Amino acid sequence: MNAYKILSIFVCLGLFSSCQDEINITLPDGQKRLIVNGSVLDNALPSADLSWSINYLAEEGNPPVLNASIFVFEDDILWDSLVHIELGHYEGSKMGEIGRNYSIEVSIPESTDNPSGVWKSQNEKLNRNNPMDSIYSVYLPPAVFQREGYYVYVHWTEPSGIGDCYRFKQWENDTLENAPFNLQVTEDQFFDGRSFDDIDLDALNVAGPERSRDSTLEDQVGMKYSYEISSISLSHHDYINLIQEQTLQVGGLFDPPAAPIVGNIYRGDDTEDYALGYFYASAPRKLDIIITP
Amino acid sequence: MFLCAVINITKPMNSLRNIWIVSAFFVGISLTGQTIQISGIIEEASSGEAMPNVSVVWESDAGGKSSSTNPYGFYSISIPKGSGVLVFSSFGYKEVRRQFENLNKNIQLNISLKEVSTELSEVNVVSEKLNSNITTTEMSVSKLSAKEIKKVPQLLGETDVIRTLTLLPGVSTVGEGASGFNVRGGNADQNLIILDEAPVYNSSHLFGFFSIFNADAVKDVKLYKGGMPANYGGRLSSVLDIRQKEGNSKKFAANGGIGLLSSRLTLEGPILKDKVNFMLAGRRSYFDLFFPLFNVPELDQSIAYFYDFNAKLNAKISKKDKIYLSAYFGRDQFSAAELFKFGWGNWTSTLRWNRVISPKWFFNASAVYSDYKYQLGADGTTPFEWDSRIRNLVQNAGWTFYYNNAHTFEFGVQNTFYEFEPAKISGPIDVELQNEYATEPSLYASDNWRITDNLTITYGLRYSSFYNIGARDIQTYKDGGIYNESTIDDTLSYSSGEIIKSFIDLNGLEPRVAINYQVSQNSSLKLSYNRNRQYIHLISNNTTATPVNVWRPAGSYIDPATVNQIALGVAHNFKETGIRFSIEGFYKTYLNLIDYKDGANLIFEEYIETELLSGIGRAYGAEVLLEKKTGALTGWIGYTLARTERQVTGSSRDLRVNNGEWYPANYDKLHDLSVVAALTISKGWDVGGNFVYQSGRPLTYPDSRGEFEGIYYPVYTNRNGGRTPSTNRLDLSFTYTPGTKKLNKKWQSSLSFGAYNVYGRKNPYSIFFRGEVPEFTNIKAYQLSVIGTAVPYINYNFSF
Repeated sequence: MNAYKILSIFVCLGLFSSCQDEINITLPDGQKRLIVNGSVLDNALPSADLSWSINYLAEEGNPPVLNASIFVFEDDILWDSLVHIELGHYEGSKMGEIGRNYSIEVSIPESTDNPSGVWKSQNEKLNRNNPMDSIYSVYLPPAVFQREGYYVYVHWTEPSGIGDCYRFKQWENDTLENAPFNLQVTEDQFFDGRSFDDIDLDALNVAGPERSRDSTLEDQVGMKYSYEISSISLSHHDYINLIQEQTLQVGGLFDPPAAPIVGNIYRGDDTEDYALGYFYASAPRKLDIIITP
Repeated sequence: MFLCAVINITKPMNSLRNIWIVSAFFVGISLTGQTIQISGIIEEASSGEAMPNVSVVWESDAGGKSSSTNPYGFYSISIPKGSGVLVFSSFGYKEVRRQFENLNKNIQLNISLKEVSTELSEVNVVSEKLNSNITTTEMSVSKLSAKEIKKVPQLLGETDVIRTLTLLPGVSTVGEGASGFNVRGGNADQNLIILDEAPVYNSSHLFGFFSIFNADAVKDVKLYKGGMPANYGGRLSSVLDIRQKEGNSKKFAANGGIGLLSSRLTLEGPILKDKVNFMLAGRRSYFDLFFPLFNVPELDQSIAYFYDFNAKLNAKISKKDKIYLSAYFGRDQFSAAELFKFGWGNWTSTLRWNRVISPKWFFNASAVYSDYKYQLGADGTTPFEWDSRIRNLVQNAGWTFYYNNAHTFEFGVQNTFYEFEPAKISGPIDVELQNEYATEPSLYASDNWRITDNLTITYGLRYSSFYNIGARDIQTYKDGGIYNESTIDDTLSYSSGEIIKSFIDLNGLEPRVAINYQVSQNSSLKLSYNRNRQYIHLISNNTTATPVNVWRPAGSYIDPATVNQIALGVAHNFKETGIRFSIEGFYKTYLNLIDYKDGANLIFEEYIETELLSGIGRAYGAEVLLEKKTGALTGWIGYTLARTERQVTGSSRDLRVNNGEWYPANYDKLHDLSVVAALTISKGWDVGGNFVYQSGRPLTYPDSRGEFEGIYYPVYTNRNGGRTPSTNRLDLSFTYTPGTKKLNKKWQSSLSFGAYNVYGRKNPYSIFFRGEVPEFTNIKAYQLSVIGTAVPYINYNFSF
């Protein structure tokens, strides 16, 4: 029997003997580009974070842009201006409105070290969204492919009418889970107008013990889980999908080819010369729950 | 009638071309002389299997004549009345000579050839056959017998047709474990893989690690890399023609093997001796049977296996007629409890009829069904099924007319009907993409014309057309040729059978020419040109194709792709040593190759044109092959020096790839060297080895780092601008066959053991960059090696 067992493990090891080894490599310093990540929300002030691209393997963060002038337009009319708060973070003073179109314009003065000029985004529509109906937790015992623990669910009804897109975010104890695999977006083509209410469709499972692998059942008690569903445009949906694809699906046999990640911000009207990042408009809806035994 | 058809379709051509075609077909008639015809079927003596490519040579004082058997073992040779000797020869078989005196009428002569041990044979036993590569117009063709394939050491000892082919010059893969293969710069979907004339859409088990072809059920394999005969079409880069064994018509026989990954068994024998016989072969992996030993509950409820089943039934229904019924069925199946399940597989079946109409006429007709499908799903609280498939119905009818020794005409008609079912989801939500339907009728004609004893030309013409038909809704777009959501103009509905888009024009003409000039008895110069057209495309922008990639037809927004290839080569045989040498150079240009927009979403996309781009390509290079097929030491050395590049230009940045500049294809490798050797070291022992060296494959390295809300991402500007380091690998096998090699010994067995990647080299499949978990902000470079260790194996094989 021992020989049989050893043989089987031997087969498995032989077949799946692929390996990943860390290597040293030097990458070029490519063209320095402006990075603009801005948004207009219907329940928070507009904001933008500006920085410069750097070498992909740099250990430090992307250097912030401190001296930009930023304007936001609503339906192509100047609507708000953003002021620098700290470390490349800029904020405005108004909240967006569902159904309106928003765009951003960023001006960088001339300098010897960095590119200068004016970058503009394309219009982004602030799309509708429904609030979530409820959030609740359920204890589930251990089972095959299921860790024991408290699982958090959300009831939510998607607005009727195909063509809506959404982004999902989750927090544990007010810390945003913000790795590439947390970039979750979807279109509504498979559930247009349907309810995730355990009657029409299963409730949305938004958190659980899998998300904190080292935690025990007791650790989960008292933990605060937050979940947010934001309406986004199809273009933004595709952009986030592409970031996830290009950061997670890399190097493997079945991975897609490397592709430039281009948002919706260009130098003037020249769509050939683009800034990195994305400017979007969104109606986020958020609920919290604290796990109790 | 056929000539009328040729002339009709070429109506728009100028009159000079028409004259050329008609003249070419009738030129032989004026050369008719007083000859008689010897024809028949050549079979393998012990099994009764029909033997293709057997050399048939007439020797007489008046001069020699030559011919060879077709894929069904039929030959026909025109000889002058009188006396002479007819010689039948094939590699590994004892030559048969028949003396004739004062022949004055047609005769039918069926021959059986007896196998000899090529390892022990003298070179002169096979010398006649050795020169078949010198006299034929065939170039850019690789032939492998099941016996040769079985000698090549392989991963886990699994004899593998596709992996063996990749050791030949001009054939490569993206890397270890990659699905499919690439021929002279072509994508994997540009290979027409046919098993007993049935198209196979996914040739891989286990995501690409092994091929679906059980070598025990395979009779022979022929790969056309260029200079394709006119009867083949539908793909740009190659034709891989695999013939299943017909089954032993003389006696019941069996063979099989037990390996680490799978076991297999083949049974064959007569049902009615020399009239009806069968072949059945099955293979199953048993990786999942070991799961319970790991004591992991998740594994207990998981499955992971593949199996395949081959069957063939042959019946000689008269002296002139033979019917074949063959089938293949194979699947891969994976599941993890109720969490997910995933499976894919091919099913093909072929009904074929061969008729020897007369000593000069041979007829082959077939009806083929092919079905490839995959399923995804889950059985948990939210069960669902996702199905996708492509189905074919193919009809072929082909005639061969052995007019005289100077001319052998072939012509025929073919039609392929396609049904594409891209995706059908059932479960809590029922939704499906529209099916697509298409039909591809084609006709062909060719002549193998021996102009002089030294100069032979095979010229032909294929004409293919394509109809994309309803029922289906098609989106129309505003002018400008940009297909996306913002340019949608209208939706048009087509009823069932209504033509949505047809491709019936001069671009469907596919001329094929191959010329052989025999410089000396042992040397020849060869030149070939072929134009091929491909109407269906595998929609995949992965580094290597996956089982879930779908095929889509040419239509309103997808044009057929075309390739033009010219090849020039020299073949020389060193008769004293039995070594064949060949060198070929090729140049190919591609039109309308499918490429993909950056970040294209290809999953569940109804209007796939919104994700596609169209480009051009080129591939060029040289291939050297030195092969030895006889004696104790056999094998080959293959070397390829080649480039393959793509270009996608467009009116705006998002319609271009690599800013419109040429870029290397994913599988572009400048140098590719393979050394394959098999040595009989004593009566009971054989040793085999492969050594492979390849240049690194192209990769795209990030130019800089962008950031989105705290997540770092790569910025790419130069598609495939970098490369992985080069790779090399050595595989070894040792085979012990007890009781020596008595051909008539009933029970024979052998034990094979060896290792793949003997020195455990970590050959890079890719170099990639990823942030460290959990923050993903500390980005590091990694090298992925698919098989990073030596993989030993042991197999037991038997036959009786």
